[in-house]
Amino acid sequence: MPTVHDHLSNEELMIAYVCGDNTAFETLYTRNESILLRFIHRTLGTALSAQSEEVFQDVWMRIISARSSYRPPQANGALWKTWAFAIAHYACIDRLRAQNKYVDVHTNSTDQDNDPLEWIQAELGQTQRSSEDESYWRAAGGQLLKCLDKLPQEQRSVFIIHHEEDNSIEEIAAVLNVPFETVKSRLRYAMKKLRHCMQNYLGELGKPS
Amino acid sequence: MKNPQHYWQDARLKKALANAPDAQLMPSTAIRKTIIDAACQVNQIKTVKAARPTIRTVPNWLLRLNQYLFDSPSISLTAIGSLLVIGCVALLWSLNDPKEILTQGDLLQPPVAASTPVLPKETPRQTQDQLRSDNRSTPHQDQVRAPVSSVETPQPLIVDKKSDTEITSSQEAIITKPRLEDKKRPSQEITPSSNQGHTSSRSKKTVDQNRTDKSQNAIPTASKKEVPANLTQAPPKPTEQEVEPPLQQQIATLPIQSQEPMSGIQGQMQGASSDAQKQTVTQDKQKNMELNKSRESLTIDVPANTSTSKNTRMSSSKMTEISLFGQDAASSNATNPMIDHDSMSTTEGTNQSDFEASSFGATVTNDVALLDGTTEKFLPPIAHLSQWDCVEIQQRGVISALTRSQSKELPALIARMFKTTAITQQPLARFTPPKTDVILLRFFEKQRLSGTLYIDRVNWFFVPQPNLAQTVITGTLTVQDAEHLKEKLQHLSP
Repeated sequence: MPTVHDHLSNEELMIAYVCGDNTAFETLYTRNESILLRFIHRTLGTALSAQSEEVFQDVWMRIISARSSYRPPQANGALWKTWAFAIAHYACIDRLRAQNKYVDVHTNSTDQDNDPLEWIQAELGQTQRSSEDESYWRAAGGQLLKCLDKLPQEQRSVFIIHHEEDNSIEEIAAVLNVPFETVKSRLRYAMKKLRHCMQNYLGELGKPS
Repeated sequence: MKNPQHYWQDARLKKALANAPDAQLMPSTAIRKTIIDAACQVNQIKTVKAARPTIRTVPNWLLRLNQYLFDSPSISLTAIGSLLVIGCVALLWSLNDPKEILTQGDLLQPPVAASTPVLPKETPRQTQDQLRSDNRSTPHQDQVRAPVSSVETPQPLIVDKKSDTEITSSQEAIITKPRLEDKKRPSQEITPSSNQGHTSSRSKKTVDQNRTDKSQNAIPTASKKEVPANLTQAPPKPTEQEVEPPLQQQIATLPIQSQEPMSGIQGQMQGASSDAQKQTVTQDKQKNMELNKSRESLTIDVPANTSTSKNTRMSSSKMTEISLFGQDAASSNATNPMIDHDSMSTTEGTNQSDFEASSFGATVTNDVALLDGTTEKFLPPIAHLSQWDCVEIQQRGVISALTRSQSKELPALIARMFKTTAITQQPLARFTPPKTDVILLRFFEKQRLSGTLYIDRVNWFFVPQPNLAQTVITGTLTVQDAEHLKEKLQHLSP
């Protein structure tokens, strides 16, 4: 494991790699592989989760080939994560388009038949649920992924980037190359749908234990 | 939630997302290895690509040379570059005539020839009169053509070194020696007496040399005072010995080009002054004349257009002059699209002006009325100058514009200036307008500039516009003519 460049930021690592330092790339990869794979996995959804690793590799190849086009924020560029997520986002869109899974924006078939609480109880064999329970949150996360699958891809990407990477709306707008207001709108719709989808969990979470 | 940007973030959803089943998802080791290998491979290719040009830029021999001689390659490169620059400068210096670098003050000394305008009394008039018996040009005209391109003006001392017979043998016999000595004479030896003018270009030198040679006809006459009239003596051998061997070889090959026209002229001359020649000119003198004429023709490099002229009233000096003009006109016609080439063939002139105009070898466009009441053909290289409506004269900072009717004398003045001038051409790119003591005339035709004429102390330059040939027509006046012209122009200006 490369440890020499651990103190460097993603941007510095990328510049070091562009200048010929291969170990910097190893550090960069190790630091971000999980995040990127998760983002891709969630963006692709459960239907295409099997292809997430393939897309993940494709994303890194794109990052390597486009390394010379990267500009850090000091050179009027963007954060490396923003830049990499933009590449991953477009790779996912390409894959979804290839699989005709990209467009079903307003088709919501709410999956209300599966009661998450029941599922969690059955999974854990517990009748008393704890809001802090890891299993609960794991179940909530699973449910959230299912809810994300139902979201349109644009809203899904916005939600994932916003929640997982803590990117601001401006950064999301830069990543997705869409206007600020569009990002905000997509995010609002995504939240509305997800809350509706996750209302059982959220209702439970909202109750005092 | 706290940050306005994160207003839409839901902590519960975020936590759920962080605890989702795929939160700990990691790519396989194979994918990791593949990606890192690809990244390293791309970087290695880039490094190799970047290294190649560095190796190619510096040749091995230079590296070895630097290894042995210097510590860094830049030193040897600098040294080589400096040597190249020095070589180029030396080459350019050697190509340029150092005389042209002389300051104007050095060159503009009062001319000697201007102070000797009168022919000596004891000149062998018999010979000269016979030679010029039918020539309309007065002796004064020949004297007016005293040396003006004076950096190369030969010293009359050359004549003094020679025997008397050399001087009196022929006017052309003097031509050889000065020219040869001029080539050898360093610029430091230019005396004030020889600095009589200013030559502006190399192309003009040839004509100026010839003019200088002609001017010898006037200058050495002062020394001819002491010359007895033993004209029958043959020219001494040293005259031919002074000829440079390459020149002699060239002369030997000349008859095809230059001897042929000369033979015709020579025959005319012999017909005109046969009695005098029988008494004074020997066969050796004729050979010497031929030799010198050939040299002149060699110098101007083109046979004169006067070869077809039938005018039998020309003097030998006039022949030389006209042959030069003819050459210049021919060369100018080659480049000047405004001249009608169809009429270049010379015709038998009815008078002197006609002959001169036709000897210029170009279309004669307009008749210009001279002051003496006669008409003069406008000389062809500047033929389009005859068509102008208005002229703007700038002299000593004063600008005056005159219509053609207001400046009736101007055409005659210009015609006279052209008539008494050896005309050459030079590329426009090499032309630098004179700055001091210059009279500037801008000719307009239908409110459009048709040409610009610069007249400095003794030189004039005419820049026709539109200048399709990219040439400047130049000439050198005698000092007297220049003064006369300036006086007249001053009178013209209101």
